[in-house]
Formats: sequence, C-alpha cells, structure tokens
Amino acid sequence: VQHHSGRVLVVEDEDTIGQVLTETLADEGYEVRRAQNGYEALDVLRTWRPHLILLDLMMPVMDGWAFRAAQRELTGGAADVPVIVLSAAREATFRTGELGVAEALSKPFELTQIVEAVERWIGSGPSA
Amino acid sequence: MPARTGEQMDLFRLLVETVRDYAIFLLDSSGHIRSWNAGAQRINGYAASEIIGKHFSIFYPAAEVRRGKPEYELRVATDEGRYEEEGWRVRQDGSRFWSSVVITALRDPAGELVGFAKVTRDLSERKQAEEERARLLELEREARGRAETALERLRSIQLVTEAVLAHLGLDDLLRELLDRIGEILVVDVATVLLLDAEGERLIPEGVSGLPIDLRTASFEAGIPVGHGIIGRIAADRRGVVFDDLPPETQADPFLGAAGLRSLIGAPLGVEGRVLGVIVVGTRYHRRFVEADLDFLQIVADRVALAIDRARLYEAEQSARREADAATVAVRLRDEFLSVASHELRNPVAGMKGAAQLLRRAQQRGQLDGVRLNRYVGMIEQTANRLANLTDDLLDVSRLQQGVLPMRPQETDLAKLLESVVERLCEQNVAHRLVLDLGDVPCVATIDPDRVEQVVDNLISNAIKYTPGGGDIQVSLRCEDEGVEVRVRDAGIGLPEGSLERIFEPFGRASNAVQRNIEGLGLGLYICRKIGEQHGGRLWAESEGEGLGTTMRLWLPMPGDMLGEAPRAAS
Repeated sequence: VQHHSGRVLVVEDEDTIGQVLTETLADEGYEVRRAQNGYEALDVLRTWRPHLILLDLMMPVMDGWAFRAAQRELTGGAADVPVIVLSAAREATFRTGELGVAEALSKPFELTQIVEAVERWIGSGPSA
Repeated sequence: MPARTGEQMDLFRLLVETVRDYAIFLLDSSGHIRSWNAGAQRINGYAASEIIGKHFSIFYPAAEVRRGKPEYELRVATDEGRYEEEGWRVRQDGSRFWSSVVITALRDPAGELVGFAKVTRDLSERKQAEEERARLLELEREARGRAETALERLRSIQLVTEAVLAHLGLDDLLRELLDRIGEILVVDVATVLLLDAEGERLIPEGVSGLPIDLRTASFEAGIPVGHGIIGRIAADRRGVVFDDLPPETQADPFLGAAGLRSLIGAPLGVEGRVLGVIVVGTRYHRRFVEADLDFLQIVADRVALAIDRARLYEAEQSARREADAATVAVRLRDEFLSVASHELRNPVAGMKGAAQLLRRAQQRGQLDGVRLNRYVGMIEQTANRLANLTDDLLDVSRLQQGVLPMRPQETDLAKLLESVVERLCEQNVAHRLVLDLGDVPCVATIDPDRVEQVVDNLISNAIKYTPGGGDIQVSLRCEDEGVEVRVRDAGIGLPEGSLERIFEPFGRASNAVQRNIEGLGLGLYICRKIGEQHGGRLWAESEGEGLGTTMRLWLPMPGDMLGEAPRAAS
C-alpha cells in the first residue's frame, strides 16, 4: 500500500460519492476533509489549507461555479489551490474553461482515475 | 278727315288682324263674338267663320260657365269699364291654357254700351316655366332625400364594417354582423352560408332570427352549390331579389324552415373567389328596392374580405400554436434529458465508486466486517434511490397512457403516517419531524402503498427544501367528508408562479433549480395524480420565497368507511 502525504478537500453534496472519495483518498494516505457545498468549503478554507480541491458543480446552497468565483478572491494562497471538477452534468465539461480548473472528470468515474489525478496534482504541487 | 279717319281705321284693323301674340276680338253687349284676329285663331284654335256669332263663354271651362263667370266678367267690365284676370281657358280642341285676359267696355259718344273689346294672352309657357321650376324644386328635394338616404346607408355600412373590424374571430364576427344587418334592413332572418372545404356545399355558419328548433338537420347539412335560390347565388355569383318567393321554395331546407316570403341575397366574393352567400328575408311580403340589394352587396364585399382575413388569422394562429407547442415539447425533452442524466449519473457514480472501493479494500486485505457492512450499505442505499427514480419514471409513463393501478383497502392513516415519519427520522438528523395525529381515529379505504408514496414524497421534499434543517410539522385531520394530511416546513418556500408549476411533469420551482437542489420534477406530479385518483386533491401553499411551504393532501372519506379502528398511539 502506497502512502502519500498531502491534504485534499472534497466538496460534494451526494453522500455516497462523498464517502467513497473521502475513504479512498484516506486509504491512499491523504488527509481528507469533506464539505457538503461551496459555502461549507469556503468555511473550511478559512482554517485549513488543502493541496487540492475535488469539486462537484451542482450543489445546493452554493454551487461549484459560485464557489470557484469566491475562491479566486481569497487571499493568502487559498486562491491558488488547484481544483479538479467532478460533475454529472453534461455541460460541466463544456464550461470548465471559464472555471479555470486543473482538470474535469465526469461522473460516473473510475476510482483509479481519481487516485491518479490526485497523485498528479499533489505530486507536482508544493508538499506539506 | 273722314277719308283720313277711314284710312286710319283700315290700318288699325290691319294691325289688329295680324297681331299673332294676342287674341283680340270684339263682343257685342250680350257677349257674342263680333270680330276675330290671327292671334285669336292661333291661341283659341277657331277660324273666324267658326266662331263669329258664338257666345264668348265657349272659351271657359264648363264649371266656370255653370258658375256664371263669363256674365260676371262682363258685368264688372260694364260697371267698372274694365275686367282683368289670369285664368284657365279652353281651346277648340278642348285643351286648356293659362291666359291673361283684359275685357274693356266699348261705349258710343252718348255713353251707350255697344260692346266689349277682349284681349287674351296665352301664358301657358310662363305657367309651364313656373311648373317646371316647381318640378325642379321637387326633384331637388327628392335628390336631397335620396342623398340623405344614401348617407344613412353609408352610416349603416360603416356600422356593419365596424363590427367586422372589431373582431377577428370568425364566429363572433358573423354573429355581430348578422344582428346589425338584420336591424338595418329590418328583416326577420339574416344568414351567412360559407362554402365547405370541397367547395361543394354552402354550410350555414351564422344565422340570426331563426329559432334553434327550426334548424333542421337538412338545413345544417347545407345546400349544394347551384341548387335552389341560395345555391344559385353562389354558382352565378350574382345577387337576387325576390319580392314573392315561388311556392316550391317551401320545400327548400333553409327557405322552407325559415318560412320566408321575400328575400334578397348576395354572393360573398373576394379576389374572384366565392366564399359563400349572405341572405336576408322577411316572413311577410316585402318589396325590396334596388338600394337594399346594393347595400347588401356592399356589405357582402366587406364581409367576404373580413372572413378571408379572419381565416388567414386563424390559420396563422393555429400554425403558430403548433409551432410553439413543438418548441416547448423539444425544450421540455432537452431539459428532461439534461436533468435526468444528472439525476441518474449521481447515484450510478456513487454505487460504482462504492463497489470499486470495496474491491480495493479487499485487494489490499483491508476488508473487515465493518468496512464490508458500510460499503454494502452505501450500495444498497444508492440502489434504492435509483429504484425510486426508475419507479417515478415508470409511473409517469403509465400516467401518460392513462391511470395508475390502485389496490384500495381499509387503511389506518395514523399508522401509515407514523411508520413513514419513523423511517425518515432515522435517516435525517438535521430535521425534527413533529407528528400531530389529532384525536379522531382515521381509517379510510385507500391504496396504502400509493398514499404512503405520497406522504413519503411530501415529507422528503420538506426535508430536501429545508436545507438548513429545522422542524417539519406533519399533521393528520379526520372529518366526516374526508381526511387531510398537512406537511409544513420552514424551508425555501415557493416563489409566485411556482405554486402550480411544481405539479407539472418535470416542473420544478425556480428557486429549487437556482439552488441546484436535486430532483427530476416528477414526484409531485405523480402525487397529485394519486390524490386525484382517490377523488381527492393535493396542493401547495406558500407565503413566498424563504417563507416555508405547506403541502396539503385531502382525500374524500365516505361516512360508512369510518370504522371503529383502534386509535393510533402517538
């Protein structure tokens, strides 16, 4: 079993997906936190700095687009945290350009895709 | 001097005899004619030989002779020396002429009456001129009258065409039009018959003044073009006037039914096409004048144009409606596909992820009982959600073909509500479900599975649309006529315009869509249909956005269905 280090924030309202992602990445050795929507994610970012954010787009309260807009206004480096978008919405793949995100994966996904993408971005990013 | 006097007398006689413009002659003292001149012959017609010696009353109309007018005139002339007047005189041929007459008494030097000189002038021409002037005056008055009538007609036409312009719908237009034409022409019956699509029969489209019970089936079936008086108007494209309809018309389906005696009819033509005919008539004998037909034809031309326009307008409207409906259908389908793909992909992604997670754990030797339990639970839960979604889709497709199958049975609604609330309480910790079952037992004949589906859906919605958590009030009330289940939340509420939209297939509240709250928009559509199939109804109430929502389900309950069921413990 490989052991990675790094912090990942999972922003996902769908419980099963949220749990699967959290548990998989935790098994890989990452430190993972979960937010139900963009608003909770911004709250987490105030006290905790991840190396990567996995972001769902269609969420209640604050969706992925609104979160991205708010995140880019953040100070102290939080604006530069890379984001991987996960979405079940077809248009998500068309609109990732305006989101300015690192990568976009569509649901349903393979867990290995997720693990590889996280490795790629945290491997090249600043280590904890 | 005598010779000279004699010469003068001859000259004078010559003058008198040759004057042609005046009748100049002498009467003896008793009124018999003594001399005659050319003028007298011209004016009165008699030759000198025919008249000399006759009494001058021969020139007077018989009535005046009886009244003694000639003698009166001589008496006045005798007494006053002269009598003058204008009056009627009679010629030899019996014709009358208007004359100016002067009678002068002639006396000898001793003053003895010897006779009278009478000068008459024919004033017929002047009289004619006067009469002509009077006639012209009369003509002018008539012409003015006709002009006024024409103006009146013009106003009438305007009145009718106003009706044409005011409406664009064909039915309204014809009704209004016929009423006005009927009033203006003062007729008993007015009707418009329009050619059918095949151009073979004239179908009555508007009838004014004909009671419903007189509209026979053969009348409603229409009149073949070219057949009978009405059919020929369309075939000949010419107006007709009948002051007195021939007796065989009593067999005509329209004329006979209407009992018409007189009618006028005109074709409705526009740009060389005949659209139908307009016919007005009376049950009494009426002498229609040319102007009536002219009026009807002018009206017919405008009516034809209006009908043509109305048809174009209606064709355009229906084409537009079809196009709009098609556009809406395509948009709804696209929306559905987009929402459905999202709603279906999420649980599939979760299930697939959980299965892969399970395999990874097993491959790494990390799969203990606790993990296995958790992963299988996740798979089960998402599979249930997928099952619910597919059930909803199945229900919708069933509803689009008819109704949902129902298996009604006596059901304790309080128990049903309790079990739903209990189950949802276990799954939700952020919301408190407050159940109020009232104090009357509530047993109704319903399909318990379907009503449970409704209650589950309403409470789940209340939870879903109260994302911040909070109390959800669920109450049950039981009355003689029926039962009511209310689910009240303090959630995002419903904006105006969404109160009904949420019950349409794939219809969702605008604020739910804005907030990306998951949902296909099928649940409430199905729930309302279930309520309706029970003879009840389901509706939503909300003070507005952010002010919570109350869903109310009312199901009718026949009195005899109220059993002595044990009261549900709360």
